[in-house]
Amino acid sequence: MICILAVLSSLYLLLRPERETEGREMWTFVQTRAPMYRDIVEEWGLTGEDRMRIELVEHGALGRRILSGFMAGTPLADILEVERSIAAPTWRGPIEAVGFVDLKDRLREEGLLEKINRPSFSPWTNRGHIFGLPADVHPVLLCYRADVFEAAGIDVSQLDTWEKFFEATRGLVQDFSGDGQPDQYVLELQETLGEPITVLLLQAGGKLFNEREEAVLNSERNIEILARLADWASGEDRVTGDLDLFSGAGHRLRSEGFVLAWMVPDWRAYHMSLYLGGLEGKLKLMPLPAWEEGGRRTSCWGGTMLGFPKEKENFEKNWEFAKRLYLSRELAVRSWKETGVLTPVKEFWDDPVFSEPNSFYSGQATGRLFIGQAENVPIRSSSPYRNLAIQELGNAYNSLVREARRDGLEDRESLEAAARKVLNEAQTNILRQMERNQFIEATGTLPES
Amino acid sequence: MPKPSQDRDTYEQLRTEKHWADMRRLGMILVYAILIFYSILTLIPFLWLAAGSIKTNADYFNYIFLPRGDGLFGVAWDRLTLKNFISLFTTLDFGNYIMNSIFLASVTSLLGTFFAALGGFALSKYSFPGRGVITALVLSAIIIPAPLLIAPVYELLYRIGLLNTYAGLILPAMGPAFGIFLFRQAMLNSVPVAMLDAARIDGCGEFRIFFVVVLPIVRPMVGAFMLITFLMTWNNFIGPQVILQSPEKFPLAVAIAQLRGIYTTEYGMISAGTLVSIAPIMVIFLLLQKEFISGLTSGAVKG
Amino acid sequence: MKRRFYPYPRATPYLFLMPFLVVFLVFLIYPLIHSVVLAFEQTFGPEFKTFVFLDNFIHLFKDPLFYIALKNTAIYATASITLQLPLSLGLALLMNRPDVRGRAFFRLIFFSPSLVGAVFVGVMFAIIFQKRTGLLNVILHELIGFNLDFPWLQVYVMPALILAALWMWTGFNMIYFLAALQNVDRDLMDAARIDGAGPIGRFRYVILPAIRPIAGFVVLLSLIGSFQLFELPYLLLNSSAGPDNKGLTIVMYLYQTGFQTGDLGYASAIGWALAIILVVLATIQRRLSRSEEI
Repeated sequence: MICILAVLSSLYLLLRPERETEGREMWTFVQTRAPMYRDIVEEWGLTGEDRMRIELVEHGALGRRILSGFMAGTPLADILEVERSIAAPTWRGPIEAVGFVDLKDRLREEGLLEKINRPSFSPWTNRGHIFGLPADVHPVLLCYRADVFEAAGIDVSQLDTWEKFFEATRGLVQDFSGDGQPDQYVLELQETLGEPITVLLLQAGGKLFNEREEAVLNSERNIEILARLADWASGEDRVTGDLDLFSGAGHRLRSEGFVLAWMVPDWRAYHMSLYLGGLEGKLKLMPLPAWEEGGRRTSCWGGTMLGFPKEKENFEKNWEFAKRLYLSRELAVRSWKETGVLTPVKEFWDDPVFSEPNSFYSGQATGRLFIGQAENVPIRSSSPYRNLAIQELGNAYNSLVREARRDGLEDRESLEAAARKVLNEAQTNILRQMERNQFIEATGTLPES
Repeated sequence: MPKPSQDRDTYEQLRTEKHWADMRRLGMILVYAILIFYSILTLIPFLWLAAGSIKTNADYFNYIFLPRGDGLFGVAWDRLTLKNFISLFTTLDFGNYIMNSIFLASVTSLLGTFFAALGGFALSKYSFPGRGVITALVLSAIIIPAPLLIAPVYELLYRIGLLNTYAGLILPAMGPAFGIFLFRQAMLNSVPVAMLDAARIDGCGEFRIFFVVVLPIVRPMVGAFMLITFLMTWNNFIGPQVILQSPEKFPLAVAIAQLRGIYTTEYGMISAGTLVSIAPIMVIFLLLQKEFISGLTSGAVKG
Repeated sequence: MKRRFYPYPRATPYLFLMPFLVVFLVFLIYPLIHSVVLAFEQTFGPEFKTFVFLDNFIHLFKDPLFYIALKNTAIYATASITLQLPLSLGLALLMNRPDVRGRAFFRLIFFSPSLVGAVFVGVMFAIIFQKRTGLLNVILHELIGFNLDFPWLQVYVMPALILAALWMWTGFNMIYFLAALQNVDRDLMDAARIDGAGPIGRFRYVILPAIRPIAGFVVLLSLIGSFQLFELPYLLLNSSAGPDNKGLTIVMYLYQTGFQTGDLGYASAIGWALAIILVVLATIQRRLSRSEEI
């Protein structure tokens, strides 16, 4: 029987029609962007060499294929749309091993450095080179249950710092089932993920890596912020709830009112309208409360670029295509409408589409809200160790929160002492990895023991 | 001994026997209860998976198994859907992945078994210089843990240009040391040398002897080893994950991991994809249950 | 020198062994030697490498991640042997009672999960273990009022892994024990019963000695399998090592270093550490089962 199967399947593989190979290929990992790009490119009516096929590749798989392509020459597409966590590992080796074309001179010559929102370049700038054309800005706002807040008589326009915000909303934490565990928290904050913690850290001006790409996980600012976050998550006055970030289970809890506010970058604000249909008209967006009076009211979460493999000989053509796609008003409009992503091209920000009221967010012109914060987005690091740093930060926060709960840490000093300990540990861990690297130099300073 | 007491003894004995029979029955009920309980535990994930694959996303979390309603047996039959399966085969390339898995598993098991039987035959029924050394090599090769070889084999395949090819997966599996060892053990005792010599006198070539005389004798072993290799290749993840990069070449194990990555919230589709991936193996096992189990245990009993 | 008579062409056995030898040399011996070379290098893919001599091993000895992986793997292996195998043996003993009917049916059911590849089990159980909505918490909540938010994959990663593995492998190991129980001498059992040996005594003095060789084999198989754990946690934890690296195993760490950061050198060093651990364990296991026999 297996013989028969072997023969049949071999025949099938032999006879399987060859995939279309005409023209060029572009890979993206975003499920919603692939059909949109296909649509736009279709309209251009490109043929032959100029044709561009858009393929959707799963996030993890895209990372593996790119690394394998750069390192071992397995086939790659002509244009790669990649996310930060995929791009960062590709600059772990010597600079000549980075498989992306350096775009710096071109971007300068063609005036794109001015045309595109400046902070958007930061994740793609490594050792003085710029390896990608940014796709987004990803400013972060706070999404909150306007219905619940208003019923409680809370006026969010006054809540411009986190301190005021929680002072006003703390009373909303409630235990409906009476089992001693609240079923309604004010703010969503994952205890095991580094990413949301990083968002809040960046907002406060904290950093994972400094300008010289040295690890600075245990900086004074980071310690201060992490301690405050742990305070939010522990004690009698606990205000943050932990739930899945992306899964259906998480969405279900969100729509059941397990949390009343959560941080949304532009793409996530759009996700909410896809997965939380039941909350339509009950949500609103506001700038993040600042850490200090007059402080930054936004942050940054995520990031995608277009990159071009060095090994491809038709770079000029690919570059022209990329500019035509990324710098078009049509894409700016459609990507806002169909994926919720705000274009980094500043001249399109005046487009009326961004002023349209969004019925999901109670009629707010959410585009304007995001644009209002776009230029305040913090600079991000492009260190190849950022994935590891974020993971370490998540672990540090996780153990800090558990320690705070176990030992009942309440006051600022003891929380900061505990935060210093876990962040020193994280710094030591990441330096241990960085210092081993024989290909790049930047490391950082070990905490004093 | 007085009579009454004897009567009482018999009575006691009868009572104990009855008591024992009761105990036995009780014991049997207990045994069945445990077995049935554990069967249910084992089957629940399968039933849940099957139910999940025909539910809509809206119903997925509202009901553990099938959505409740007014239909027959209190199930809302009209809310069930085949959409998950349809999109699996239309928007995704699942038909293709199935064929890839079948191809990889069948070709690997066919070639692997053939060469293992051939090698086992040589080691058990021929005497030649180097036999001892090679037998020792086979034995030592069994001990080497596969993960140790992942990185160097990846680099080797890169050097000889076999990354991202099926050959890169199949070639390394063509000389299964464990298989050669099994076949050697099986043939040592069951294939009489006299029979081989008789065939030679009849003018049979060595290859023909292998096919006509030896293979039929160890046929159960052939079937069993082929099935085991088939199963292992079907479920292999790290090999194709590392070596194959083009999606049209992916087997189901790699495809399902990526389906899960892209359609994070489409639980119905994930369930359907998993069901489709494990169903072929289940069917083959149902058909060839005996060979499978004897194959698994033969190594233990003989080795 | 004495000439031997060969009734067949002298090349025949070599010809028959050729495929094995070629594969053995090319895909086993060469990579094995090469992995030693690699273990002395730091690489960024196959093209960029620098010689670091013993640095990989020195780093490995101090690497907290490796120790976490080792600890997790060891816990999992211990659990497989102390929880899974007794359960398998228990089921096998029940099934082996002469008056149990439907044995083939039960065997089929118990065995079926082990046919499902670890990848697929990982995908399934990632949903089953979810907080609040997952099958396990929902059922336990309805039956015994279990905490609906019990964080299996957030905090109790190892118990979740062990449970999933229990579902997968108990029936598989049971098959071996069932085969082993065929070796138990019925007459001896009856004799023991007549001599008044209770169930425990019969198990200790009649059954255990008879199944010892296969039991040893199953223990070894479980150990080797457990130490190569990768797919199940990898898929269960969404292609990661999980919160706080609670689901990091040795092979997962090898995979991450080799193929997610591209350091094939350090990956090889991890591979050698694993190989040494396995050889040591196998030797200890042999010694133990041999000394008990004497």
